[in-house]
Amino acid sequence: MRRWGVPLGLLLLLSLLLTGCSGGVRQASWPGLVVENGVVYAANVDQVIALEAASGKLLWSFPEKGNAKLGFYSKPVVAQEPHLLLVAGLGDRQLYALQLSDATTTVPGIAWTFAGAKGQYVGSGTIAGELFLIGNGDGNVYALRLTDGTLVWSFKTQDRVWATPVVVDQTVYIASLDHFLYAVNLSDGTERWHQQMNGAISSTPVVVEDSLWVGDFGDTLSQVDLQTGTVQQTFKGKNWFWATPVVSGTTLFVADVGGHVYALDTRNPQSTLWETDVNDVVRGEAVLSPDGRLLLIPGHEKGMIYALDVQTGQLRNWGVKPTNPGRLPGDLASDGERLYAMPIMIQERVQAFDLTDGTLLWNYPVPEQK
Amino acid sequence: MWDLIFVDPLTNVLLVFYKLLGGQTMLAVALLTLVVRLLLTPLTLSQQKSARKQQELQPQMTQLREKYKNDQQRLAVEQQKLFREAGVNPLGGCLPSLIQFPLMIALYQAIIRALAATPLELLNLPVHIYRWIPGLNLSLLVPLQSTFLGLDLALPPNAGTLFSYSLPLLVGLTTWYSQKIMTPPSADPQSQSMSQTMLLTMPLFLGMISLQYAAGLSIYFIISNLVTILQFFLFRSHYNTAPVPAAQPSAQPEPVEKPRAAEPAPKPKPAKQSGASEMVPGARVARPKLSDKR
Repeated sequence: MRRWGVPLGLLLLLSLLLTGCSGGVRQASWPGLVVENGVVYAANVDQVIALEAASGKLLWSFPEKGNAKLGFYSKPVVAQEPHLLLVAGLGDRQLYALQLSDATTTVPGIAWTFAGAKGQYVGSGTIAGELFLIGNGDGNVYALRLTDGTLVWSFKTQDRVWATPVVVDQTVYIASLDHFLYAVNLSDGTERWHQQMNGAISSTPVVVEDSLWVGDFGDTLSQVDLQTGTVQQTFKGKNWFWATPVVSGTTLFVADVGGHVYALDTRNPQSTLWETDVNDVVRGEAVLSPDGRLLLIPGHEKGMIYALDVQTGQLRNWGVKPTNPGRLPGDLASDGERLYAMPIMIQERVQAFDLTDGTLLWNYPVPEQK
Repeated sequence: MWDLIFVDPLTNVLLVFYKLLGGQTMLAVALLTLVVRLLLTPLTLSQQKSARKQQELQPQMTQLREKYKNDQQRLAVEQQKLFREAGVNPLGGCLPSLIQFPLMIALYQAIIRALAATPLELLNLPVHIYRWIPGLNLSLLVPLQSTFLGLDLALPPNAGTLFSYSLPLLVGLTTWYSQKIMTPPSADPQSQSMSQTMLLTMPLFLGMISLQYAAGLSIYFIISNLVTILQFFLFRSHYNTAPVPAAQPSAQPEPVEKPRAAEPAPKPKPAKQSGASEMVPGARVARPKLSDKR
């Protein structure tokens, strides 16, 4: 035993150094959730869970016994007809269509699966008519028939697609880490145009009137014409744009990963309405309060939710600073009553707050009392 | 502080190399590893010189161990004296390693960070990219084009590209070989046993790490090992042409003083308590490899 002591000790020390002394499960991405008809559907890494939105009570989980290899991170999508929950595994590279029923406590069965992608699923998908569209780490966007999961078409980009495809009329807009924005026909996936941006794109674009606003890793937010792909205007930030912008009328709120939050007039984006530094890393999508007065922003490094006055950009008191907030790289979600967040690196996986004052309403799972 | 001093500069140099080499991640990782190893060459050479000198003293060390097998304190004093007279720093082999170790860890972390295999790792990258270099926006290079011969260097070996599994194997083999040639033979059975254990466990350990982390890390391990092997042979061929000075008479151990009558003779210790006392004089003296080649 003594003979092995020193080498094993050295190896242990080396392994700690090499793994950054992080310990625990190595988190690859950030989990997402969606709220639909009073139910929170959350990608909870080793399983997908359904929680009662009002109380946080667990309704069901899929699979019933968690499997960390599945790696559910991508924000689930609810389809109404057929009534499905579409979830994608980062780890097993499979897409699952779960058959939702009215009995919310029933564990859903699998309607179909799609295993044709070779890369990891990071971003969420979108529904367009009879199709479900989702990007993958293999550079493709897959269009699948909602009823049975048949592949209708796929569109290849030169790098990973982590942004959610955006559909306007009969055109799908695809943002890729290959620095290009693509427009393809919804019916057959043929390309209409492509436009090179200033850097890699991981942020999901937003549509304002006849243009698309998209941020990139070249610190640039661009306004792109929907029809031609021409870049109409640009705004230069101070760091990468990764969070999806939030639109209110003609005002666009966007944060860069350096924690700078900008309010822009979409008609004249060169001059900011205001700019605030929340002194945190911001990756997740923000949410506007129901009265439109507050912009709620998730701070990744400090695990805080920052409430900014939409008129002035000043920080407002909202909620209570938690003692161990974890980190908040994912998007915030709201159902108009509550704000939902999925922190990482702490025991609590889903949190619900009162939208008006930030009171913590519930945690899932309920933290153990010390 | 660690990031600021070690990891960030290496990360940014890697990005600059990536840009200069036309977006070839594989070449950039190889070049950075090579440059760091070359910068560390003086330390590596000093380590090898020290190891060589210690090897040359092995016969005298064995004699000392035998003579003072019952007096550990005296043995330590005589060993120190032998080292001092031969101009050998007993820590000369460890100190360069201790200095190199953090840099190699930082290099490893820089590669992992720049490759950013997962979304969370990529999110961690922008705060570490230098934004003050005029005319050079390194952010535009991200994410690195990590495909090489169909192999994604940002991903661990996987069934998609079966030959990716050859990388951990190569890591294991090169680690084993570089360790084998770098480990000086020891007359001390305990050190020899430890060396043997490390010779097996390190390649296995690094092979396992390579299986779980981005394939780019395997490139780093392999290049690093190849540089070690190359340096070893260059050093050896250089010293083979220059004869090793014969052990100086002053470095020879003094004859054992007989215990004075007033002092009680030291009690012989049980053989189990001392590795050296288990030795049969002269039976396990490993001859230094470098000297053998002369």
